[in-house]
Amino acid sequence: MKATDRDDILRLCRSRDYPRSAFATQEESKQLALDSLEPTLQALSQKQDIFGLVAYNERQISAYMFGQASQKDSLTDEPQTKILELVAPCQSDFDALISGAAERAKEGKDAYLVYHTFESQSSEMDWAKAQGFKTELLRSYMKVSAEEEIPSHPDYKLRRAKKSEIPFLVQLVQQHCPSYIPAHRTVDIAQLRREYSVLYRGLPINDKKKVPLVLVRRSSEVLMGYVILQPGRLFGDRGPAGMYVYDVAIGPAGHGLGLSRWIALGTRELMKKMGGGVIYGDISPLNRLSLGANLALGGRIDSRRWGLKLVNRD
Amino acid sequence: MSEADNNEDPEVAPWDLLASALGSLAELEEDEEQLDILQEDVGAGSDDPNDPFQKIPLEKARNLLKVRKTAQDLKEGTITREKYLAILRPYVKPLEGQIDALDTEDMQTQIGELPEEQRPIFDMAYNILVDMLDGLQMMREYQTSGDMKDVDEGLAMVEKAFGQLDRIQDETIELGREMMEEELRGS
Repeated sequence: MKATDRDDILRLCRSRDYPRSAFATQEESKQLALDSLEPTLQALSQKQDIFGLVAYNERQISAYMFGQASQKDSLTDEPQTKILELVAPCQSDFDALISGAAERAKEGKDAYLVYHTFESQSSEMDWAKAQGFKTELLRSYMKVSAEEEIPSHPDYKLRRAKKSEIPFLVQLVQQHCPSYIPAHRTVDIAQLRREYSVLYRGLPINDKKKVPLVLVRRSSEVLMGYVILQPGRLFGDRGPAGMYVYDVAIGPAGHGLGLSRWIALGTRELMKKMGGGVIYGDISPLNRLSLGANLALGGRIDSRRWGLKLVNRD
Repeated sequence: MSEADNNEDPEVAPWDLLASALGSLAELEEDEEQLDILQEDVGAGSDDPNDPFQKIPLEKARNLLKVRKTAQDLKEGTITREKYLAILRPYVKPLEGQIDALDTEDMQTQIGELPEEQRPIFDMAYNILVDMLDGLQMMREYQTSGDMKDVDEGLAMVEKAFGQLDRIQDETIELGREMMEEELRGS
């Protein structure tokens, strides 16, 4: 991509169709893309890990991509190249850009190419599959309005975790963390358990970025499970309020009692009292128990993360 | 725009929204701050520290001034909604506790055993506490209504309750002085 490609890329950015999403209307998505275009183009010359590729059709730019190399997966720590934006009207343009990105990623010794699609982008999803991408994570969401009626359980309640209850979270996360691994990725599970143990031992109960809550039996305060929420704005530092479900788990005392429903409803109640918003989280498609529970509780899939393993690729 | 009814006040950090939501559920931790709205600073009343009938003048009632200023700051936009709620929240539980304490059978029995002229004062005190709590709750309704009318009407109820309390204090002080004078005359 050259500096002189700017006008063509701006033209494509303005004229393309934007996907439907629970988080932003098509108009908002377009505005976000236009707002970020100039900073991204500037970053091409300033940051070595940001790159841009274009595809031509009859000597005119018909497709483009922005990517960021040398990223680390947050869970597996594997080096990967992340596709930040890919605009391609047809499969041949898509394939050309992916091939170019894969070459760059391999040159930089990145093990994976990572790409995101919204569920409304059926063509791009088919093209990604044809290229060998596999779904690694599904982003699910639940919309909550400030007016809806939300039942509460007479026997269980959700409240802030106390410092003395952090060992309970540590114990549970050590059991559950293997299910957090994105699909088709491999990781040293013993190492993963150690890292989560350290992370959760040091989790401040009054942290603003990761808020630990526990589900307890009202009468006895027996700990049944936990959820860690990350309140934020949906578009970085602006837009509506939302809550990312960083982690959720049911303890041994709560197995088989259907308590995940009450954690979900307790979280919905909080979102409602915040004025409404979107609760969302990421689930591996191989974690069928969590995925099934999430969908049964009203969750819907908005987007997915794809991964393409680059080792031994032709 | 997301179809959800979202809070887009750019001044309020999402953490503050969540903190307020956690506080508004009944799941408060034991170490949550609690303030007695009727408790005033010692020595802020009369100039004579030995005066057993000292009373804080209404215009100096610290908690009333604080509640009034909080409402004013909200209107002027110098505090956020969450800060407004955080200032009011600690007053609620102690008031509920005082009302519950007056409602107990033991307390009702004790009040019933008082001289007749003293009993109405306790009824009035009870009603004042209820009005004060209702006023604070109405002010806190602003969280979901966003209607400044709730703040104004709630504050008016709180101020009226403080005014009634002030009159009761005057009456009890007068009663107390009369009783003391009778004792002194008797001795």
